[in-house]
Amino acid sequence: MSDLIGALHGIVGAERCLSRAEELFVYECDALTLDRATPAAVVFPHSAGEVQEIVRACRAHDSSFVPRGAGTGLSGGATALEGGVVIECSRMNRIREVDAPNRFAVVEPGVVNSDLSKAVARHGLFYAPDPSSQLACTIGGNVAENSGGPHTLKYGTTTNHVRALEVVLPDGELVRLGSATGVPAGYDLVGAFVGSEGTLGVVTAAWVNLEELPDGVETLLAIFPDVVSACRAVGGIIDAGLVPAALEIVDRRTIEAVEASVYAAGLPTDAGAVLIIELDGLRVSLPRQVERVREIAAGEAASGIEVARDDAERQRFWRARKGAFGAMGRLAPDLYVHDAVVPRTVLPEVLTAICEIADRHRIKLSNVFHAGDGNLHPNISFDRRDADERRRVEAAGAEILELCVKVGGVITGEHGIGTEKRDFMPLLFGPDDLDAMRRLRLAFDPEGVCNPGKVLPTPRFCAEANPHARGYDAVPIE
Amino acid sequence: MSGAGSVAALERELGADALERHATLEVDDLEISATLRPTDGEALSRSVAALGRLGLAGIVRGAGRHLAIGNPPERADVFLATDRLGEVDAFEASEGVCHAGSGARIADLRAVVEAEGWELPIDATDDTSLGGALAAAVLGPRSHGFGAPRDAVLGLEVVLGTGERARCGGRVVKNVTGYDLAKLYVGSLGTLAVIEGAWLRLRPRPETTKLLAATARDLDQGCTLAHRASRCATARAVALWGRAEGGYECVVELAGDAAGVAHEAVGLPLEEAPAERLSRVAQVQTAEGSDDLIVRLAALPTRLAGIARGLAEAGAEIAVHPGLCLAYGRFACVDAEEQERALGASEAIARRGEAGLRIERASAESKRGRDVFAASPAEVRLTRALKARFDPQGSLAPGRAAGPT
Repeated sequence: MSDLIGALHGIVGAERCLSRAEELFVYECDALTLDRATPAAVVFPHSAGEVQEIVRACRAHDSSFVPRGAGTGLSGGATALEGGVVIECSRMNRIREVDAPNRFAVVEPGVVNSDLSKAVARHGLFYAPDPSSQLACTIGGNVAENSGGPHTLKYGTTTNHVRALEVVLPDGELVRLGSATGVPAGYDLVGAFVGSEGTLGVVTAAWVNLEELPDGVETLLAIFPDVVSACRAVGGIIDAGLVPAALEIVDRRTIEAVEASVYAAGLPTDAGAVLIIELDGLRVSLPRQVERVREIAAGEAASGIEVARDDAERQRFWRARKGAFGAMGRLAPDLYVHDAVVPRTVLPEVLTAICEIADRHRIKLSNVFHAGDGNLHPNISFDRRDADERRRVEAAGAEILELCVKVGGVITGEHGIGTEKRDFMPLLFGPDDLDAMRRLRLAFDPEGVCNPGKVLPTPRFCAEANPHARGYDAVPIE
Repeated sequence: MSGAGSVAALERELGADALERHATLEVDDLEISATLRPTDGEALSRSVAALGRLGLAGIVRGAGRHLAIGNPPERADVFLATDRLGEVDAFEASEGVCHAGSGARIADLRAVVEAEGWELPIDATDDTSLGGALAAAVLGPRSHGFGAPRDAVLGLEVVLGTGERARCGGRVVKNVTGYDLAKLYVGSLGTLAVIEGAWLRLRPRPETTKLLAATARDLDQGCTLAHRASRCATARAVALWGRAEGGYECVVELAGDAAGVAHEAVGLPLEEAPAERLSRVAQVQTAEGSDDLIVRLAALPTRLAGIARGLAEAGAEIAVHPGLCLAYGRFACVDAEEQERALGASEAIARRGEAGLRIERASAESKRGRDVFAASPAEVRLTRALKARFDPQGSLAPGRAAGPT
């Protein structure tokens, strides 16, 4: 191992290579604190050339490597399971180019998501994917996880916004996939790479779409007696043919935590749920849409509907949503942010069933979620030092996933599989489905050195777990 | 084994009912006179597995609209038709998703979903099969508003080159469960796997649509106008088409709520026009039933005017889609020499405009010795690595995806 550390020092210098136990401690996990492993070293490259050299050094010393952005991932994707080298890309943080007339930017992987939108705002542009961690998470991490966010409903996830990639492949070759136009000529290698959770190579630059800031934005906050009514309102809005930019539900427990925290937004703590509706587009189109949303919310027993009068008020509404995860720190030392997707029309039944699961396992559950696309985030507050509570949290989490698959849903909508859900893949996919995924991985990384142990379960586990998984078939909740 | 003997072996293996013999059809100079027409996924799987066992190769065929795309296959013994996998078997109107077999006709799919207030965001001609539209990643003028076909796909069932049936994705509108293999299969021309069926995401039907058109003063003015129109929030299709001697027309389709469409229509110096004008634009890039040479150049919008000018000066009929970063050139070529000259001109235009050239239709002779996708060496290497993993026996049109380096 000391040979490898020596080689890494030779590439980036001792000051950009961590290898002492106390330095490595903070890199044992990402934002999924349930799974931990100590890496052999953490290196901070400044350039694609250094990434190449690091990858080659790892290969020469039989070490695996793990790309990492800001470590905000929620599925354990940046955890070095086999004690490999963590390639920390946060210092590759230059915006190399902004081409405003052609609506794209070339960014290095360590550029913080929200910094890109700030940098291009003067051109009247923005970068659309907006994960809740956008103040910290990086574009490289977003590419790896195909990150979403509240505005996914209208604008799509990261995969819809990446035109081309510069990548160091697992054999150390630096390649460019795709072109600045975003139009694949042959196989869509960029599409296959985005969301591959750092297992196909290390992103060193991304060509990403920039969108025009909308002509007008209206943000509404509707207050409901319960989550089920709020879900029905969401269904009504979609059925009316509207395509809001965002439809976000915050439940009572979350409202209480937010209102007791620095993120307090003046939400009524006696509300069962609030629904944030953001409409954007041409200003002439918005008044009728706002009116229609008001009617639908009122028809589903909304006790109050506010329309943000200005940007400050809009930010206040969003503070309640985006500050929710931070506010959860008030409830317990640890937070397990779960992530699953169900058909939107079964949201009310699924949420009721999830609450029953939580009650049965005696866990503290709250819900903040992207209701418009059925993307649930059951948040479980717990203390991982309490072994019994931790077991109950994991058991409840597994049951929630099984429920979501049973109704025709999937086990992650935006956080990825990582280590967290790797062994749940057979709930949804059979051995041949997983084998096809393995073929993709082997085409890029035949020796399995790039972020090993992620995404795919071991063949033994998947054959035993569910050889006939057919996850599409929805089954009604009993 | 190849030719009549190979087809006979296939017939013995799969039974006479599985194979249809017919008059010889040519794909890139390869003569094919038999078609496997499986009726379900299991039969499709058996068919592909049999090809592998017998060392044969098939070309996947939907409605046969996009067979011209790709490098000339190294060999092909049969067509593998998907027309019997054609059912629209699930439509969840309340979710805005549907599922269909790959042989379903686009027109039939449209009719089903439009009746419930949705639209299918794939711009392919009515008689194209769903599988064909996905395998060829078909782009039409309305792809400006719809997005590419990959964006409409939620999940796929496929049969790999090994004969294994596999699924990817799901039926919900947001999903990052495992690798996004659908992105890889869509646009792979049936060279990695045969698409058996697909879950699709639909869009709400717009309240109103309006087609506008205007004759351009010249090519530059037309490009400027098309570029401007492509910035409209309600633009669903924006194209400039025509040729040097006949003049150019800018065609724009706006779609959305009535207030928005009316507001943006007023701001464009275009007149209302019949909907058929958009079909005429699409014809420029339609390869079927023609011996013309068709090229597609992908370039940044600010470079498209120069590329269009180059193509027009080389004698092509053009269709420029600024919102898609694409310009098509159609050359009426009667002989090999003309075709070679037009291809050479297109390659030079692509180099000057830093554009990606894709040959959409050309004679096999012209395609040989080139990679029709003009991929980089690294991309060709990855393409071959993927082909080797997904279709190790080379049962699915070997050579079509990756040309010579």
